[in-house]
Amino acid sequence: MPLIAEIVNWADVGGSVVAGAVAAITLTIVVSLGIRGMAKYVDYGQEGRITAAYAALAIGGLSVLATVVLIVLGIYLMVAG
Amino acid sequence: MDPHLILVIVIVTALAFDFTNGFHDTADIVATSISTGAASPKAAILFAAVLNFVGAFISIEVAATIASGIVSAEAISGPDALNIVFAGLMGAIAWNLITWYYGLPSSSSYALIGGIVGSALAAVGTGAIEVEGLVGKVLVPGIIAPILAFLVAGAAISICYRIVNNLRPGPVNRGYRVAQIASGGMLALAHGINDAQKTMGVITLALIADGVLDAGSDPPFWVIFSAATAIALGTYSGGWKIIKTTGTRIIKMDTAQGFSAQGAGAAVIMTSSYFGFPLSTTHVINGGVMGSRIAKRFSAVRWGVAGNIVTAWVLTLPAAATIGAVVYGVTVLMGGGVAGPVVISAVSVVVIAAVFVQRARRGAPVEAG
Repeated sequence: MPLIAEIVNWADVGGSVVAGAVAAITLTIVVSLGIRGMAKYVDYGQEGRITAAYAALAIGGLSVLATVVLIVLGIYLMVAG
Repeated sequence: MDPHLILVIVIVTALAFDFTNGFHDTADIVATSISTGAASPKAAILFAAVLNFVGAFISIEVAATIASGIVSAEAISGPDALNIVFAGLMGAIAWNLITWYYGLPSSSSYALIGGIVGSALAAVGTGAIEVEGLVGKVLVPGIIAPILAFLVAGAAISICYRIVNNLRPGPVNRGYRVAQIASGGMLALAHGINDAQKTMGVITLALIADGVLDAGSDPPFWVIFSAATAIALGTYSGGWKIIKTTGTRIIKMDTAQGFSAQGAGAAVIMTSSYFGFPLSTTHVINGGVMGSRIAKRFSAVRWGVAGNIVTAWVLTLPAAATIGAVVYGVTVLMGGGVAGPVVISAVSVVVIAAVFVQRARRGAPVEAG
């Protein structure tokens, strides 16, 4: 009987672990930054801090864009196989 | 009788299994979105069904693993080959029915793999088993994936809380509620990618065994389409059952936790599917849900669910394998031709109907997670 360590393709197993963790954490950071940006935009806007509000909006907008890009990229990689 | 009748029976049985898989798993896919109010039950279920269907077309790596990476298609070819696939499917269905009836934890995916392995072992012996595929692509990833989902969801929820710390809860909740529509959609897509492919793999294995396809062939389009349709219809039907029994498996969590659980589950299932690992999607989703609860307090984690996953692991593969081997033995006793599958299918339909009627009279079975 071969040892488990010898018959498991650890490169694939490790690859799936790293890819899954990186994808989930990256998406979490990007989405959370987007939510923070949007929430801050509202707060700064109410306080009359226009420049800070637009800066927060830019962060929020870029994060939303990055989220869409990440999801599309993930699906593309799956389809491309 | 037409010798292709067994092939038809195997395909119909596999699609029925696919339908029940979607039916059974709907709760896990949509419960988080519904419990946090990110989506209405109707919208969440329709969304999940559509994305389950779409997901089935995205990849065929898992189907390839099922079709040729667990049992050797060459080793089980011959006049008896379709009986082996049929017996494996019946092993999975019977074990799912037994666990459903008694409220035991189970995994449809491992029941399917266990059933096929058991019938192939009984028919051909250890030479039919692709040990590298079984250990390297099913057992090891199957243990790692729920743990990874747990850890990643735990890390994700900690990151969420750090980034939105000190912000007003209103906009934050609204933000994560919108994000949950995306993460819930990704989870449904991931479920379609991994689970629909298991049925595609079994049908492809049957087509290879019957000589319709060459060994190593990819699933034809009609196989992909029919598996996608069966799982999507199962998901949709299962959803209506959830609406009727409001509260089933619904867990209290905030929108950030829901997003973290779904995002971690979807990422782990999708990346595993990319590498061709057939996982128990239910176990991964439950791992994500447990991990997302750990950030608040250790005791908030439902450790009983972890116990159920381990129990399902220990029981499902050998039990389904044993039933698959016994069913194969019965087909041999009945002459090894079409008669065995025809009689067993007919008896199974009667038994399943009787079990459902009895259950309906006694009340719903215990939910074991």
